[in-house]
Amino acid sequence: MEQQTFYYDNKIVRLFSIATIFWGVVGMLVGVLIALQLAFPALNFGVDFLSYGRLRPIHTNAVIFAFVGNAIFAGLYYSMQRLLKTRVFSYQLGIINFWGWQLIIALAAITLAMGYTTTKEYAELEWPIDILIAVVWVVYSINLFGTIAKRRVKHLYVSIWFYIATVLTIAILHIFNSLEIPVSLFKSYSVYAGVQDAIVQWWYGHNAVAFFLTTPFLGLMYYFVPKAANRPVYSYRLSVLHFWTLIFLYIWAGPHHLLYQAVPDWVQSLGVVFSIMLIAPSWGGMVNGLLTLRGAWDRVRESAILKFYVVGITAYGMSTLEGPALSLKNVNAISHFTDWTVGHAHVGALAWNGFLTFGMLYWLFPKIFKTKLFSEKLANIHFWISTLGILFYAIPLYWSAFTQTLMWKQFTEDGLLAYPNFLETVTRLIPMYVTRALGGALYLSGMILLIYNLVKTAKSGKFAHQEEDSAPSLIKEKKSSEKGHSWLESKPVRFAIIAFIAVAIGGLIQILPVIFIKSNVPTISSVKPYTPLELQGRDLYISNGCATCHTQMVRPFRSETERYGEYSKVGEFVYDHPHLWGTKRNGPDLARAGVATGKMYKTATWHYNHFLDPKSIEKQTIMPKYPWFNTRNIDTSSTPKKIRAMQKIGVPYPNGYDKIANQDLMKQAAEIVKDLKNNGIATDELKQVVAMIAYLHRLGADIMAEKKDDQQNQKLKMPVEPLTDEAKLASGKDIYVKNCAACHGQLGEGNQIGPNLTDKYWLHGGSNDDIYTITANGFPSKGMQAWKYLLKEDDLNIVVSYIISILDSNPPNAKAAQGELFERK
Amino acid sequence: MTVMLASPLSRFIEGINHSNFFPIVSLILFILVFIGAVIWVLRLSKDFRTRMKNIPFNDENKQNLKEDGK
Repeated sequence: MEQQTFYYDNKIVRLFSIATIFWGVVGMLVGVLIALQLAFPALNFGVDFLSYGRLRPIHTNAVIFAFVGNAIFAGLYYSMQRLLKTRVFSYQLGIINFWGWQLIIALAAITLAMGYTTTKEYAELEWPIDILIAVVWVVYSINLFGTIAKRRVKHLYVSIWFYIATVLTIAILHIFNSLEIPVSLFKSYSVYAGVQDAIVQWWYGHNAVAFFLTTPFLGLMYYFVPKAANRPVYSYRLSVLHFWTLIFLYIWAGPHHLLYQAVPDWVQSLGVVFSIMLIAPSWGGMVNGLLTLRGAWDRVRESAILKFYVVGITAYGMSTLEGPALSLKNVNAISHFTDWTVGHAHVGALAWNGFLTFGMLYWLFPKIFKTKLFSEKLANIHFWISTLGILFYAIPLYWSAFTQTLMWKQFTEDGLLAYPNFLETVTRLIPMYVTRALGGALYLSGMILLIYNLVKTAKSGKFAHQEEDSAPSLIKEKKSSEKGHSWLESKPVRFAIIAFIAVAIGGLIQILPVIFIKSNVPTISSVKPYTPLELQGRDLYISNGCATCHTQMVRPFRSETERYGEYSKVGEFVYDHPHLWGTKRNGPDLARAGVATGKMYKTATWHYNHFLDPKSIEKQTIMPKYPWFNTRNIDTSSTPKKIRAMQKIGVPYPNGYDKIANQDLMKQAAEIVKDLKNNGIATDELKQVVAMIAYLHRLGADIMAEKKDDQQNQKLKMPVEPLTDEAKLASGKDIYVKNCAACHGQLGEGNQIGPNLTDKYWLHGGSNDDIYTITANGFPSKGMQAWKYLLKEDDLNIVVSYIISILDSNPPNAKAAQGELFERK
Repeated sequence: MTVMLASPLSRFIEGINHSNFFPIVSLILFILVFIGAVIWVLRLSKDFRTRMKNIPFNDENKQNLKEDGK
């Protein structure tokens, strides 16, 4: 075999390494600022682009896509060349990859600061940037597959598998989650609505964690940990098993982000089960990583790199145990919407991604600068400072999560909320927030030590633009002589296809039914599309990042329905492009902010003053000021475009409504202005504050509008004649047994709770329309639910027909008559 | 979305009693994948595993392959 000499490129690696460090500092700096904003709201400065709602997505994007993203590229470009024994496929593509990625990051920072956002977590960027991301990702993919194609080793090492899975899956996730209808250059609406949008979003969000923050880093772990420890990975078998089970399982677990929320039950259960199973491959990976160091533990004492790896991999194991624990419904009921989620995410980001990155950088710089690390001692100090930083960060947040959740759920002896004012549960957390910010600052200061150490290292050495290596050329063998077990490692295309299928199955089985089955999203007839003014208000809500602190999802717990009102239903969100359920309650839930009789309702005057200066109403509030709402106008020229875009994705505005939408907008705005004027506030129809008030007053108003009619006991007419068809009545019996039998007996005979339905005596009248009315509207104070909110319209007709069909059936154990005699003709 | 994609596929999926079908199918699929992967790794020869493990070290110690880090 011919021995060939070739050169590894180090320039791309150096560029990405520097970018990693630069964006790491930026991202962490913003993180410390927003942590402080939660304790000291004055730090929002009353300026839109410095307010928490805008900065938080900048922080998450900077850390995930800029810091971690650049670290991934640095590590991948370094390791793939060496694992494949060849120079990178194309240096030029590598440079395009680099500058393209930095351009995306810069554009992201600018547009997010300006309020151009889709509000979908970790996918906030607007559509032109989405397209740019896709292009740069393709450029990188070409470079990866090109390098694989010209490799000089026959078999692909396990790291390369993880890189391939990353590239493929991120492409699928990015494309499907970013499907949106553009309104203008920097505004679009998600094609998915409400519950579908939420499920697609968390399928994406969860797997962005899986395939951006986990699989590439596992690939890096399988290369850099053996290199640093100077011994091969513990078990090759375990790495194969780890890889396939991990990529197969991860994709299913997304719905665990939506437990107890308005999502079909079977989707939630699927998410829970797969999350629990995920412990196995994750721990397989951790064990494999840690045991690689066996026999080298004495070196951990001196080596900062190995320390970073040990703690990083251990944190990976802890996070992947905590994650499944958080996916149990009973744990999630406590943790969700609190700081536990934030703590969990940061243990992963700071310890797993951060520490693996630091270990890699301390190892890489001396290699590519052909020298020794400037100071091992300083690196060790960095390790201890950032470990301390993580503890100071995480522990207060867990503490705060339990404090807040227990306060939310605490009832007095009389059965009332012990802390009815949401703010009480926030001010209690401020000491924890200060400590957390301190932890973040410690971690950041460790980063400064790293910069000093690496700059000194680079100065003491000489950068090697390329490194020489030699290997025999890969001679194409005729038919593989392998006995069949290693056929996959030597066939990258076949491998990629199988990996793709493994990942796609989860998406197909889980996502498609939600999109295609209409009955998964029962419609509620009183839910109507947003008015033009409300739509404008909603877009302001999105662009100012209100959803980062306010959820719109009342879970079916008494502690939540007491505080906010009726729990959220799937059918309420059918016109929500995108959904705004949120993940964290720094402020109260707003799903019922527009219910005039509800506890969350505030008048227009209150909202006006609250936006202008929240502290004028609540002294201790941490809500930032939004003074610009009162000085800036909404852009009414965008209204027709927005209406047309909504029509395209199926929102039933009447034909030609786009042309007259602004008239309706002005009419509705005039009423709010009049209301404000009566309370001594002068403003005009076009001000942003008016649209915000209109939107907030709409939230939850739809389903409660009908509730109000019920209270007047509005008489309904049964929409169809009672059905007599045998099959229909049989399915009516099924519905009855499932929903009604608990209170009215298996055969309608009645029990201790509900009256007999088969005799001639009725509490609320015995005509067909009477029976339909009481079934549809219910009698909530007596425990009879309003079934029109819970059953589909057809099912309601069917079950009422069934009840009518069992009249006079004289079942055994019949309950004594209640109410008045009603004789049917 | 339903408006855009309403199709025979939609009717097909709707016909499935999804509350039981999907979780069971996914469990079976996973078990198959898992068993497949286990069989696969058990059939890998010692020699092959040692060779694969040492790919990251080929630039340094070409002669002596490392066995389980001993």
